Amino acid sequence: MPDVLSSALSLVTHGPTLLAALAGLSIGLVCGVLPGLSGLSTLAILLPFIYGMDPLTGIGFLLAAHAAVYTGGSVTAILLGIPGAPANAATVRDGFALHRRGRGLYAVGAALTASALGGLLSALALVLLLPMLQPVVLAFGAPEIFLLALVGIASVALLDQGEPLKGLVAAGLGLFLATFGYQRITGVPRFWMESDYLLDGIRLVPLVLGLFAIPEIVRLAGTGGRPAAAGTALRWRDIVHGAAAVLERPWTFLRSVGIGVVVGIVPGVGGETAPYLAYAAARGRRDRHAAREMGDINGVIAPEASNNAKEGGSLVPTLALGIPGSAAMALLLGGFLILGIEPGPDFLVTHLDMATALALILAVTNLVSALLMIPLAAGVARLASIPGRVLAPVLLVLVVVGAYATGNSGVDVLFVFLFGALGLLMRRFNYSRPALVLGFILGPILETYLHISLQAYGPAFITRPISLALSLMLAGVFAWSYLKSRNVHRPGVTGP
Amino acid sequence: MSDWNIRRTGLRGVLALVVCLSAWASAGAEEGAAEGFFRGQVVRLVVGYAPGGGYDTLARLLAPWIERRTGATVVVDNRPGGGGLVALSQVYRAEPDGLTLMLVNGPGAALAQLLELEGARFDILRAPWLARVSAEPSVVMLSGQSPFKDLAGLSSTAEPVKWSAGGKADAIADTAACFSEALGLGAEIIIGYKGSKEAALAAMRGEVDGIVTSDRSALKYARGGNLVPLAVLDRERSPLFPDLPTLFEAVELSDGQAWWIDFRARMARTGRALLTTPGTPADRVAYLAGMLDGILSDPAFAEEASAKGFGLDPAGPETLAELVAGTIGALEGERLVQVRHVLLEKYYR
Repeated sequence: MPDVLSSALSLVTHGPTLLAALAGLSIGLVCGVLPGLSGLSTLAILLPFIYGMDPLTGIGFLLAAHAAVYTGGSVTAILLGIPGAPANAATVRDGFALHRRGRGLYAVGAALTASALGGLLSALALVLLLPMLQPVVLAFGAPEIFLLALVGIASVALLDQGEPLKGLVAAGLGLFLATFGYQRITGVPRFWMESDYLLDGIRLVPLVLGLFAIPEIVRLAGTGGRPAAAGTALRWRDIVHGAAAVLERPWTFLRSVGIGVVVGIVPGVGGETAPYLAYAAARGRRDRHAAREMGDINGVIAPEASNNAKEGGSLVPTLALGIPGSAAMALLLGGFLILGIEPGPDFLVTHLDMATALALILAVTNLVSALLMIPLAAGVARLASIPGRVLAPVLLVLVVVGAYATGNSGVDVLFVFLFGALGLLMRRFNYSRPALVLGFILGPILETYLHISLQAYGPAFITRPISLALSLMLAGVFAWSYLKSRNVHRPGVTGP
Repeated sequence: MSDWNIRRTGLRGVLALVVCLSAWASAGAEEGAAEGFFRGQVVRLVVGYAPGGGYDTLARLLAPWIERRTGATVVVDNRPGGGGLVALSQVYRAEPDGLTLMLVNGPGAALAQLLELEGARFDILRAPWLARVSAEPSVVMLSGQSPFKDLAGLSSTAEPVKWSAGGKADAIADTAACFSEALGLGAEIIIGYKGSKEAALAAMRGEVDGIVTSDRSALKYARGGNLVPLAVLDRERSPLFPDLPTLFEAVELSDGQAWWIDFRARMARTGRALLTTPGTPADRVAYLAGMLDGILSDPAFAEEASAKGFGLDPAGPETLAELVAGTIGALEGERLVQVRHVLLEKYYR
């Protein structure tokens, strides 16, 4: 192990590699701050640039950019209420609520610290676990993926907003929207209305931008107010307090990192699930009604820690089996291919030093990007003190450009506005938007893996050990939410 | 023979020579016109998949070579969607000027047309083929976790043999269907996996008994030891597996059985190929085909391709047109109904 580490270190400290990682990191931060440009689209944009680089330099460049996106995206989520990347959407509610009370930098400090440490821990976990993870990946078959997705949707729908029924309705709507386009198993397109665009279904980026960014822009334009409450000066000390807040909540932090790593490792579930799960786990244990107005720092720490932690996790199946843990990792795998390397079961034997070097790059990128983000956050914070009616059109342009740039399609922009209307309604009537997004992301996974489970194992798939544990967890989530809502509605206890 | 006759023959000869020469010269001029046409133009090389996949990498590998030979600027244009069918439908309807080329998945396009999949709005029997870059024969692999260990075990079992695949016409499922039909297996194909890699993972962990995949992927999966290759589904062995027998070497097949393997193998031979829009002037098509042939037979290109893990197996437009006409063009009546039944229904629950 020590010689692997030292040869990995010498690989990383190679000049061009460091330079490329730094360049990737800066680009990633900028893409993170811009709404709509997710880690996925950032990778897609950068992929053609790596032709001709040497393998570690090229992959390091992509990995650094990808990891930095989520760090950058948290700041706009908190200070402007607009998620920089779909995965930051879970941070919006509590982060933005804190900001409106003038505690924006406190939330930013917590988010950046959670991101940095979460990414660091997961990279460490990656180094330690890499050699022995193949059995773990192989233990998660179709039934386990199906049940994990179900637990994910249920916990966010039931625990997110304190109104389980509305949460389930929102998640159901997400599942419905996910059915548009080609059905993966039969190849039959559903609800495509003779439009080529809809053959591939509804896209994630316009959905997230519409649901989260448009309502915020409308509110800004309508009230003319500032994103931050008037008269609340931003205090730089708050960043330090925010950082300390993470360390004071080791349980929330570690649990979120754990969720991130595990969700990342399981191929098929998709990294976007991790922050929502961590968020739901953190929100499950506190008084929601107070928090809705006030904002809770746990609701910032949890998604951000798991957000960056999932990257280490999803590198595992990518490197160990050549099977990407998320869509972004599929692109990274394409990067390997371009550079003439094929990850797979023998990759860890022949290239363990390179795998370790990648983990190191991931760790360093997470730390450095959080540090770089602090001065950038000041800029964004200043933006936040501009009057709403000036800021709103600027943000709208950014959102439209971001939506357009993802797929070079004007239809995407149209859908931003359609989902914007839906987002306004959902906010007005207090339906959980994260539940909808998660239903949308996990819909195809639920459908496909239920089908595969039934075909491969029959209905008895539920009796496999890990499946059984996940089913119990699912029952637990329902029971928990039932008890909670009974407590809330009992007279004499704080009602809605 | 009289003087006159001799003179006449001579005159004929001269005449013929003149006709030949002028035809040759005008052909040369036309080719020159086609060559001149591309200089300074922008050529779109369309790929029906997102950046990063095998097709994208191959297209980006080809682009600078095409630029050097034509003097055009070549832009790789990723248009993912519908398994590459959306892009092919668009290229099929593009301006027929020879400036839109596409690197297509030959078997995928042929199957989509044969099975009349939704979104397949093209007729590859009419499209001008330019060149085949590579072709990959299929290899049958069994999971180390499966109770079946060899071809004899597969043929003699009463249990259904389970294969994993992505979708019904993804070149994995349909090959498994043809293989099962040839051997008369009571098979079941489980689809829904995201691409061949996830399907292979399912086989590795024993969720299914095996997978039928391209020889190049098979080589990679075989290295981990979790999947064991059984046979190549073609008349010739794969250069990647010199010791692995073909199915024809491994078992005795009747003509009826062999038909299914031959049918699918011929389709596989359309491989990764380039085509352009129907209606493109013939001289431009001929120029493009000649230019691509020059690149694909250049040892320097072959070396660059092999460094990126691509094996070349070039073929010309005639071969491709023949393969397409001989597989999907030749199917009709009972046989067509039977093929559709086997590929789309028989092995699915």
